[in-house]
Amino acid sequence: MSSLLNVNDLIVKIYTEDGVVEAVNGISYEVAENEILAIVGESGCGKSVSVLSLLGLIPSPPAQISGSALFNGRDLLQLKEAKLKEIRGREIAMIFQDPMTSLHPLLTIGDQIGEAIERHLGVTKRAARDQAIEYLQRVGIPSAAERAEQYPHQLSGGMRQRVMIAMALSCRPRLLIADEPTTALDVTIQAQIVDLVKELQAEFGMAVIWITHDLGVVARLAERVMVMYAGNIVENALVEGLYEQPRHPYTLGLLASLPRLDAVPGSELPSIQGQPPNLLSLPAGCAFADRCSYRVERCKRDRPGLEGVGQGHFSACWESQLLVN
Amino acid sequence: MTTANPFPQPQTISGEDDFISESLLKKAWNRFRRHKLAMFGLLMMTIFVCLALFAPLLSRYPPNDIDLRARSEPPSAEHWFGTDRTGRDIWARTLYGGRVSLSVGLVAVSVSAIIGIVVGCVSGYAGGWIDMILMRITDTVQTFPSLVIIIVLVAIVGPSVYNTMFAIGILGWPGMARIVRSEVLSLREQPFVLAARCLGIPTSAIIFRHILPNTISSLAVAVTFAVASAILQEAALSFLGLGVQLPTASWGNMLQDAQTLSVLETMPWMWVAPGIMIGVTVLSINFIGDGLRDALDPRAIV
Amino acid sequence: MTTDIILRVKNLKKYFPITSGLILNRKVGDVKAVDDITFDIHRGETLGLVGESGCGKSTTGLTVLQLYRPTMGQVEFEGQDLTELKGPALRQMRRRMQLIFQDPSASLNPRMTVGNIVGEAMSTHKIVSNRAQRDARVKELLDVVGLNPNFINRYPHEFSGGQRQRIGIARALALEPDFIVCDEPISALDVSIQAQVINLLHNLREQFGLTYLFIAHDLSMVRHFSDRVAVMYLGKIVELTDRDTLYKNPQHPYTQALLSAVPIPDPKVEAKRQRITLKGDLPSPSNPPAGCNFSTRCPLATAECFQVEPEYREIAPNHWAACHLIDEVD
Repeated sequence: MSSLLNVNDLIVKIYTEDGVVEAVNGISYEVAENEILAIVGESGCGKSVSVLSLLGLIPSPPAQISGSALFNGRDLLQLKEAKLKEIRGREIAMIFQDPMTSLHPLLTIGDQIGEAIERHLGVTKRAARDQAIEYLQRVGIPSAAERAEQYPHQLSGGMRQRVMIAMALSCRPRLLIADEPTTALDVTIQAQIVDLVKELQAEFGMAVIWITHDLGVVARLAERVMVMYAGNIVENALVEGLYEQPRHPYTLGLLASLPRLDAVPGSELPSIQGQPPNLLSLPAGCAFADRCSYRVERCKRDRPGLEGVGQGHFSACWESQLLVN
Repeated sequence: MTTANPFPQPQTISGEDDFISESLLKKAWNRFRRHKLAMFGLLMMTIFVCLALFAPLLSRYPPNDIDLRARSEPPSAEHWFGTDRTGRDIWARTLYGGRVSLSVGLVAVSVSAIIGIVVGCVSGYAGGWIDMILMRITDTVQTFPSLVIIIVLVAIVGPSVYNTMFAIGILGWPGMARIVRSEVLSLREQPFVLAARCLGIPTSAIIFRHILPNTISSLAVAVTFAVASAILQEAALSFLGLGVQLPTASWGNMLQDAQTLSVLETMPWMWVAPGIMIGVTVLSINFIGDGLRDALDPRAIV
Repeated sequence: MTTDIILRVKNLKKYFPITSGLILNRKVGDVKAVDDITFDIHRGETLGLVGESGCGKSTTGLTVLQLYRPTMGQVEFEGQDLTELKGPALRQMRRRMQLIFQDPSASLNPRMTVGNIVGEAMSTHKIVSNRAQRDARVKELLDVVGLNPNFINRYPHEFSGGQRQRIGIARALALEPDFIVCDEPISALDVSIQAQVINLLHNLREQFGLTYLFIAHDLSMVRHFSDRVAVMYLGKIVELTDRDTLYKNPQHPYTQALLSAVPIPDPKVEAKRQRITLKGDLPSPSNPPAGCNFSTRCPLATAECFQVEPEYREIAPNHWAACHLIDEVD
């Protein structure tokens, strides 16, 4: 598979009144064509920033962004805002946790999708409108023609997220970025959306970056997973490999602490002790060291980089060999 | 350029107790300090308040002493700001007038704030028909043309410093009541108030310990602006001869002299000083209010 | 199972009126947030209450605690009907039952110190007689919930989410209650912190002999934490039984669909799972469907389901459900 997006040594620092937040600390990753990549982590771990900063969606300043991000041969970080705007929506589409923030409240959803199609594909208003209704049908909105006449507030949360997906797809993007799109939805609706995206990804032949904190959704959806912690990628692996044999203590701890529907309920959950570090003053060594039960002397001193530990499996841990059972 | 920290990453406290706690007040002060105009306002007000407080030490003449040999004199080494038409020292009168004008502002606003807090709290917390009645009364008071009503009030009870304070205060509360009410309405629904109810904390304690302290930020801003407007109202009243009565000096009644065309044109020292004081004071207080609004923004604090 | 019932909820209803009009507030309808539910909680057990957002599970918790007064029905706490209590008598009862909140930030007064937050109720209820006694007790509680007792003079904004939730738990324990409603206590927390808080709640139950009503939407967590589980849909309980039966042998079609929608963090298991996909969205609780509430989304609905409301009945010993399609099982 050829690479669609190639991010190299991305660093994002955000200047706040409390100090400098080290949001992303020199990460590199690749997204292949037609691949579903999940980025997993807790709030503040940099999972959203590491993607949104590429698209000019993190205002700079106050953020300072460095590194490179090759998309289709162009470095996104060097492009002017006007050029980026062209790419956003046309080649790279996005859906967010709260669809209301990205839908115009005073325009009907048919008009909004139609407008996007008109602008990006240069078709007539009528044709754009027809296509909009087709897309609404495709994402599973019943009686799409009538729904197209409605305003965002008249739809439920799940429906709005479907509208966002229809809008994202309408310009046939090569990459879809989904930033916690199911976090605000109930499990039954979440299942519908996850299945829908998976289906559409195969049908439309696009790559997907799915940003989430839910390891259950990742297992259902993704092909490859990147686990982030305190602005670093700590593990990057194919999904089967990661769940079967996590090679970073953080991933291991996260998976162990989740109660599973298919396991015998125990009395105590094996939990990770302590708190994530303060991004205003990250430790010199491994950011997870304080909470890690595999910690050795070196972890406090040197920050480990991502190393290959198996077929397509990378881990940033000095002691990753200890995790093989 | 800096911005509010967008990350849900509080200064996590580590196991040891070596963490220096930064109080809410200190954070607010840091934010206030960056507001240049507000700092300018604060500086000016500090100076003015000191001038008013230490007026006896700073002036060579008592403010009400008439010196018929030195009437309408321009500024000189003897009389720094000149004298008025009855030979009173304008520098001394400006300092003493500041005492009156500033205290009229403070007292009048205290009256408004107390009424406003009581009405707003009762209205917001009780809700229902009590709220409706109180709010209609508030609306009614707010629609009065305040200067006209104050003039009528003062005309009935007679002009004096205290009556001026009272008249301005009694009409200034509707705005405060509205602010307090809207804060109380939203605070009432906060989970921490629900928690207090669940713990069996009596209603009065909920209002005084949980709700009122959280309205301080917006109240402080409102009070600041109200002080500025009360000072202006006092000046207007005294200028019309209905406020503070001569010989007591206030910035407003010092301007009365300027009603005469000859004074206005040929003796500017009589009205420039109090005029500038009023202008700078009102501006400064408004700057402080702006700064407070940014510094106490609850979204930035919590 | 013991028969010592600490809380008995009978035909509980909580309707919120929908009003319109500026001056004369005319009532134009009701949001039936909780619509005729009945259940018991035994002393020392944890009853899980699950459902999707808007199903009325949080309203149930707040109505049980009389923070919302019920529209109809009884809530008996150790035989005493709480709905009849008012003012000081009700405040006295609050010592026995407490609440843990979902949002640990909004549930702590930002202008009070940890010591005041946790200790306020102790002084109000005269559990402690002076400040020194109170502080000593607060420090003890902070230690119990895993916080440094020296944090007593800190403000909530100085703590992380997980630590704030611990403060909320300490506050709930301050009055030494017997019964605690946990209203989504972990859903606002990060994954790695959730397990810590759940373990804490578990240990406290053992240590203080607490009884929990555990409200959550995370079915895996509810299974881990509860002895019995009630599933709510649109203001009604559709199924209630012990944990193992509910998860192994769910009877109500909604329970089945809900369970099948929960993702399992294992790609191999996920690849093989059969899922029941529900059509459409939750109907509005102000205008619930005729007949069975679930009929509009139920994959098995028959004509009867659209017309007749199913009875909430005991389909097997200690297994309650409301569905026309369930035969008596044994």
